[in-house]
Amino acid sequence: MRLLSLIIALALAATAEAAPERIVSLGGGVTDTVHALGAPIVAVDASSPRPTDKTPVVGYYRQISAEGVLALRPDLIIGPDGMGPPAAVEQLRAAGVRVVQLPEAKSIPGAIERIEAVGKAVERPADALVATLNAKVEEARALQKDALQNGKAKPRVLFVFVHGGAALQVAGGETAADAMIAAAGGENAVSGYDGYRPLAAEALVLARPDVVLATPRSLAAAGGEAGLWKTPGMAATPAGQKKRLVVIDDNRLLGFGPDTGDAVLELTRELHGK
Amino acid sequence: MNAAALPLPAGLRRRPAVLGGLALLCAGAVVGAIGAGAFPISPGAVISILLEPLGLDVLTHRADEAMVLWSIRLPRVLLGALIGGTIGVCGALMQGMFRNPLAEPTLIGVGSGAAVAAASVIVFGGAAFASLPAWARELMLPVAAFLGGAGTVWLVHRISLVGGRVSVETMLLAGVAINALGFAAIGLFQVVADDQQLRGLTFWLLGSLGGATWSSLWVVGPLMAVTLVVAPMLARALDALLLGEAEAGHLGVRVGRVRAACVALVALGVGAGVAVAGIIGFIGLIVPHMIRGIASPAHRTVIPGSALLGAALLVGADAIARTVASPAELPVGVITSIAGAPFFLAILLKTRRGHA
Repeated sequence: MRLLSLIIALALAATAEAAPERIVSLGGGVTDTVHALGAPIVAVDASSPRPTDKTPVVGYYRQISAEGVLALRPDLIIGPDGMGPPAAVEQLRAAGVRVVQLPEAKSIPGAIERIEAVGKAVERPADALVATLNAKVEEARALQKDALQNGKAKPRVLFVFVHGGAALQVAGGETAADAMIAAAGGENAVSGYDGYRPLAAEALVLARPDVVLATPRSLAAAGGEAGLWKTPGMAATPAGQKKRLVVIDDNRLLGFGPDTGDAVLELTRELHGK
Repeated sequence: MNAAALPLPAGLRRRPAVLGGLALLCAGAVVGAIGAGAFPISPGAVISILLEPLGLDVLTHRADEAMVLWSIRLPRVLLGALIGGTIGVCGALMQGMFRNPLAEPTLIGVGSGAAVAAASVIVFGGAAFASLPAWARELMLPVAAFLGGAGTVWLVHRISLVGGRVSVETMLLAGVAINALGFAAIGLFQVVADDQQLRGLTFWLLGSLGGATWSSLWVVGPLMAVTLVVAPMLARALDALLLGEAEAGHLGVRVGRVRAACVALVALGVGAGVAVAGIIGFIGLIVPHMIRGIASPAHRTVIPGSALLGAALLVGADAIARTVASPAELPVGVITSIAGAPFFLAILLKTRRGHA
């Protein structure tokens, strides 16, 4: 009995010692996950939500300063595999700090893999987060199945980025938005190219979107909903005529973090629910 | 134009004092920058770390302090000094060669040429060089930037060769045209770049010493050292050139050769600097002006003085860039331009008042 309790105490001590206590988390999707797992974050990068107003920001995750990060005395630096510059990452490793680089999540299976990888790195169980995400995605699939019975066509969805005053940037293939539209049972209204590109007014008419999907920041840059509908060409599209707009927060919609299930369900309800 | 003035005897007499003072300033900037940073290291620990390789064990320090100082801060400060000094010298060479105080290295396309090459590697290199080993991919950016910078300077120089002689006017105008072309190409890259490539591009265009390592120092250091060592040998010829091209010819200066040497040294020095640190503005423009202001327009003073002051300014600006936004950092090119532009305007106004 005494031996058993000694073993348990030793095992607990071992895990307590190994679990990182000062984490620098980079990249929005990773940070959301680290935060949702309740792991201790000492600093984040500029693309991450800050856990508190006082959390230091170490710059954008592709341009971190090795010395600045080391000054926070982290025991784990976790972020996307695009973190850099490479020289800084090398210096952090050389300083003996554990650096975990995770592949960018670009799909729902990718999001699940990343949540599990983050859980492993910060040594906290991730099962609950994964289960919730899966359950929401299942619920969304059931909704889509109901809505798309009888050979009904998938709604054509146009994801737009608006930066102050410039032309609409829309999401083509191989983008986070494209993957989310597919997961929510929609069809990307733009096909034929990958990545985000500006869309000319005439091409916008040709794309015939039924629904416009945007983030709150884009909507603000476009001058609100009214401004968005005034975009040249928009009035000639089904979405513009029926004023069908869905707005979902950037990180939730595109981050492939722990809220991905929520975002898929929300988008599914907007596309098929009513 | 003050550059047209003859070397002042009084200024030349002050030469040892001026260069001595600048050397002290430069040394002070380097020592201060080694002591400053986001990671707190006490002066005692700094001394202890620096003396350790000499076998002296006077004070104590921790292992992590030694690591930060040796592998992060020291190569960065030294690279900053080297690049700052080289850009300063190249500015002096360009202003002397063009006999125009507005000349600076970027004028003949070294910056935009390097930027176009670097931007194409940032935007297309990921796919094009995917099969290369990691070390080779990391080298692609500096190598491309260097070749792009040097190649553009060569092109501008070729265009301005009229009947075997360099036409200064053609060279300046060709530089302007090539720069416009270069920035148009960069604009095109920005349109096709994705978000991440765009970030890489922006930081590179703004200049940063954040990628400094001992290996980058060993790669580009020797190239910049050539410029720093050879440039002072052109001082007398550039002084003669201040009198006018024909006059310099009568004094036995082979003007064409001096120009070609200047162009080669600038392409080498600035190309190497831009390759590792991106585009760092204003140092090449203002440093020679400052030396002329405090000492004399004689190139025997301006060239070594620009090296020392350029080094001191870039090391100081980088120390600010590293610490002011800690734990993040700012691009050092932003600091040099914020500090440099108003200073340059002040010099312009002062010079105008002097002439009025």
